[in-house]
Amino acid sequence: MELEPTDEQKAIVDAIRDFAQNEVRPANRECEEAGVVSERIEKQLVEMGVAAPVAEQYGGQGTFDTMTSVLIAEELSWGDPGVAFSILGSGLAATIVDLAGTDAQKSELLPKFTEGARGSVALAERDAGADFTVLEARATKDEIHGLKYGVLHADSAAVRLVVTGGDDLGVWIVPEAEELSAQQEDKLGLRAASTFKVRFEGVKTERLGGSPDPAKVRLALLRAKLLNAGIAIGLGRAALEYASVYAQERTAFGRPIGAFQGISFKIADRAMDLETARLLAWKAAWAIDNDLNDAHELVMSACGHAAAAAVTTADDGVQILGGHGYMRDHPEELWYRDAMTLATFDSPSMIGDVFLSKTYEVAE
Amino acid sequence: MIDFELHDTLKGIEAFVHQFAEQTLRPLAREADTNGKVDPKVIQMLGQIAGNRATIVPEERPDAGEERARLGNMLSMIGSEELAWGDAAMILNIPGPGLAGPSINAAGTPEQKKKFLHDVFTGEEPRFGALAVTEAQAGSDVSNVQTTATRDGDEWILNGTKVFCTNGARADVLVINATIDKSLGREGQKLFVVLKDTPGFRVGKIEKKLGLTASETAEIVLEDCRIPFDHILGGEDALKPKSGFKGTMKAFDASRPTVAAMAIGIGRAAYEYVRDWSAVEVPAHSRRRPFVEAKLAHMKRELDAARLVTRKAAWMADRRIPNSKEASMSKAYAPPAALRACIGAIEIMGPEGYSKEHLVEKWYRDIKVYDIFEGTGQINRVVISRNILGRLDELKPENNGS
Repeated sequence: MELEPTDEQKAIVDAIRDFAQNEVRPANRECEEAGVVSERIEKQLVEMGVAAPVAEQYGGQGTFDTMTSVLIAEELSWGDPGVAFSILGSGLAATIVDLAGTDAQKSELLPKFTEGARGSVALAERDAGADFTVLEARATKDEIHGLKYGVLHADSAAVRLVVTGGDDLGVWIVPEAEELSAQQEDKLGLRAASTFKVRFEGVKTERLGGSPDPAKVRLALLRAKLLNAGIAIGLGRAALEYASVYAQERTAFGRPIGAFQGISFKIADRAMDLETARLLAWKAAWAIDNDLNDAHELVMSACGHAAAAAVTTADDGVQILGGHGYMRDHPEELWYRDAMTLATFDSPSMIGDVFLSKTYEVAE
Repeated sequence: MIDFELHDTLKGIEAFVHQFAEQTLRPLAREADTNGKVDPKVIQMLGQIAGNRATIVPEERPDAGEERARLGNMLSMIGSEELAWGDAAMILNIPGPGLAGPSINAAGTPEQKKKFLHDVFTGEEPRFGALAVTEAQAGSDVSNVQTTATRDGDEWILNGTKVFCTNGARADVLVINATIDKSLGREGQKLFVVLKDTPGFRVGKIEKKLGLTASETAEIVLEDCRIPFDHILGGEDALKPKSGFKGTMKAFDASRPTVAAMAIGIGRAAYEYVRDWSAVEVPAHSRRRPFVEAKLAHMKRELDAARLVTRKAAWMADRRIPNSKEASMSKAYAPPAALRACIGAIEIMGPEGYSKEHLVEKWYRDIKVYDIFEGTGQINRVVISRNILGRLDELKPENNGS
């Protein structure tokens, strides 16, 4: 067992961390209020090759393995979870095309990302968030029918993908000319990421990868899922760190409130939740990168744990700041909203658990 | 590179120990629990199978190669989980240095390690070690220990009463915490080695307990117990300021993840038992099925999480990275997770769950003490939060220590 990231990963983490601290965190309210990531931040992340990782042969700066993408997600989300969700969720389309597309599709779609184009992946449904094996959207004769929630950039993406369920779990490419019936979601948190409810009624599309290959699609979607675990961990770390600073500065009854165990035990508990969530996410990333059989189970487990950790940590974050935590002068209330949105969006811990349990009989 | 694959050596040992746990320990678990002790013949057999030093960590062994030394703590995690999966109480009866091992290893001089570990635990015959720190009024607050060590020429004279000492009654080597000067508070705390049959050393009452009944917990009474001067762990250096108490704490950094690994073993035993039981007793069409599935998944997730943080603590120790925060995390996280697994197992099995026909009720009793001994969950939260407050970099993924 080894828990030391590579030198390359460390360098990337350092770069993103600096950027998150100097550029993203100070702009968190600006992005939230505008409902989009500021142009300045988006442009820089595209230039850094982080927004949409594309292989060099398609004009990009190279792709990341799953482990690296999880490390990046944590750091960027520390800056702002909404920004991370918007940017990395957009780039996910590039990763999915890269993993499951034909050569022709890659040549056509991937170079768009290097020019700053956004991507969009329509995956979540009302009854199928984390569990993409029960998706109800269907493709018949290359036409898509279904209702999708939380579709990022449905109004602006140049590369739009739709995931459909059934026996042949598939990803489909919506032609750029196609007008979608999209309704912007006015939501609790992650407001810097503009998302839409999209109804597909016979939208004509083309299958990513040409012929059905559910195994390949599943792998690509697992990477998509795990990204949310990374975002949840970054959010939790931000909230816990902020509350820990506050607990040392704020005094009550003549002592810093962090000296009281009612506060310090919360900090210890949430630190354990985050540490365990991070290790589960790393293990899941390692399993994907090494093509292990239990990757699916590990991803669901990591997502469930990370989402729960983020929600609990953000809750305690507000609680530790007390009345101040409720005010917009501090970011805890932002993370409190973001955490629950992230959890319901895509990896509710409940669904993660139930789904996971379906694998135990065959897995063990 | 981040990699979760276990070293081949560890995999081999995991398989070997699991077989021992499954074939030798588990079948005897109920009987030992009911009798409240392990048959001496069984102890002898356990000793033979385990080479009389099952709980000794490899780096303590003179014949340990470099590779073994580098994997020492991890090996301890793997072995402890598997053994506790077999039976947590019986393994405390396997001859070996027990918790005296990590203490002597962390605080002792090379000569002391040789004299009190290698020369005693040769593997030729069953020998036991024990650690006596707790007193009736001093548990987590180790600094409140009242046992005294008074210097008299070339000797120390020990006086005091220790409680809750695992294997204290049969120990060949006992590590005892005592104060050389009460006015120094915790700085005055030092660790001493007392060997079996030393005059002035006596065993008091043997405790009756909720769980781990087959493990013997003794009271130790020291009345003008004289030991040689060089039995102070760390030797002369231990008398320098700020060395003794830290020695005790350092030993916890090694022992806490081991205790956490044992808790995971118990939790996993309960999880696997009820999972297999449910596969037969809760058919797919049963109305209870969704509840059972969700419960099982949650139990497994928490145990997996506990195992990862525990192994991280061991990984750090093997690389000599300070790990007091992670050691405490493993100890604070794993036992409650394992307890929830035991509770979940009883809930799923219903009236069958509390029946003595199954071991689940025993695991539920056994597991409780893991959140108490070697530092309660509460004191470990104190350690964790002290590591974070004032040192926020601790929350970043690469910062692994204090």
